[in-house]
Amino acid sequence: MTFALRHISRRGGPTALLSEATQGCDRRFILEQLAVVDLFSEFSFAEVEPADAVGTFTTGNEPSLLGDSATWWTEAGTSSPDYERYLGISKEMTEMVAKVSDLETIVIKLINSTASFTPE
Amino acid sequence: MRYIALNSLRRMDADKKTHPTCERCVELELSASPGTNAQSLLIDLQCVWPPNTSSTKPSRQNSPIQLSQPTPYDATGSGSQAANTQSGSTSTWADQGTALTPLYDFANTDLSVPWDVNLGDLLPITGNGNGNGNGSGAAIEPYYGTPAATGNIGVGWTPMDGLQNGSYPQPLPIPTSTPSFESLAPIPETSIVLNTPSNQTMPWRNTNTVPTFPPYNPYPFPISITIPSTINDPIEHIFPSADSKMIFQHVRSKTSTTITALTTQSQTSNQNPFMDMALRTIMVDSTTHAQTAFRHAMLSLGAAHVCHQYAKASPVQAQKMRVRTVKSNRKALGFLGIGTSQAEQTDLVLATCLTLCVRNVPSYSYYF
Repeated sequence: MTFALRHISRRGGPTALLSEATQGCDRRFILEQLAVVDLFSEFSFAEVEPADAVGTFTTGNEPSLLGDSATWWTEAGTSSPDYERYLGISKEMTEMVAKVSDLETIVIKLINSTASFTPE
Repeated sequence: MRYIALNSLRRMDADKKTHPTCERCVELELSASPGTNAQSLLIDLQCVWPPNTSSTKPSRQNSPIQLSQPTPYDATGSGSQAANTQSGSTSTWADQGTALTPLYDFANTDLSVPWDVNLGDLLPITGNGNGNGNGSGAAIEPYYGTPAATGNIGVGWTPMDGLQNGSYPQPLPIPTSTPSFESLAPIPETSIVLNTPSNQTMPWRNTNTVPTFPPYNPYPFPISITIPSTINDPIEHIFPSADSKMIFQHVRSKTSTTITALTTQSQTSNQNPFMDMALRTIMVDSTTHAQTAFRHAMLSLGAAHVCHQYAKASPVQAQKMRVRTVKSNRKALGFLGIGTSQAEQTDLVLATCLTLCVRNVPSYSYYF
């Protein structure tokens, strides 16, 4: 998963990948699935990278594909009608969970920074 | 002595006056002195058959019950004198008919109960219930104590009824359940063989060979795929090895329908989007590194599913499949490092990453 996220960021992010003219018909589907795995799944390449932990909702990390600038997720006319069917929740609910995870990550970082601060 | 006794018994049997099994006769004959004529002694005593087994009991003269009629036992024992006195006969019991006559005297006697006699006098009741002697039901059915007014037997009866004076018999225990004979029946020697689908699809469970699966209900190719006419079997063209072809058929038939979040069929095309993506990606190009990485990712996914499916049924084969899925995973990652340099292979790279992420679901459940 780390390899995929690194490859996507190297290509300019999800929005740049979807704007390419040479994209295949399955690119949006693949990006949506990768975003869901990044948000909810807690599995990783255990044999290759044991320390690789994905799943921002459970680990407290910042979501990579569904951050504040994830405009590609809610672009009008591009929503897959089968998304809710095979995932169980709507795309709006998924985006809200991603934002909650993002805010929680910020709070955790602030708590850690204030805990290390010792007033004189 | 013993010779004399046996000869006497034979003679007695021939005369039919005594019986060789009569205890009294044998005892008297054996106790006779050698100079005594045992036959004459037995004839004088006139053994009567059948012998009375209660001869060892004490005399009935000491019993509080005094009988007016002599018995055959009395005729041969201590009561013989009384019997002779009662009957008024001077002869002994030598005549069988005379001796048995008092036994049948009651036949000429009117023993019918007169109508003016109260039943309570005939069957006196000393217990509870209708103990006044006027009731007839209690005398006939003392077992239940007080008869119920409604006529239902047993209603109103308690276990202590009739036990105060000790005159009522103890009620028999009512069986609460019928005895079961099933436990006594012999257990047949049978062997149960479950005809499960796993037995049918696992001919390799006791062997060291690689599992083989029939291509049951394979996922159809997407309509957008154009297969070249020179290729007879596109799967064999992509996976030339028999093992890899078999594993991919398992992915195509089973794994694609059990992957979490991808199992539901598409509402519009009624197809699995994951398999649509996989087959379309595989069939588009089969010469690049990214496509090879994707094929290894599919094999890793199928091997992990097989390992998870048959981990308990065939641990040896599951372990082999686990080694195979780890190797395929590493090969896929290796080819990914080479294939990412080509910008046109982005879809294949992302599809490979997604397949490997999905593959970690069954492999994770196998590890734990």
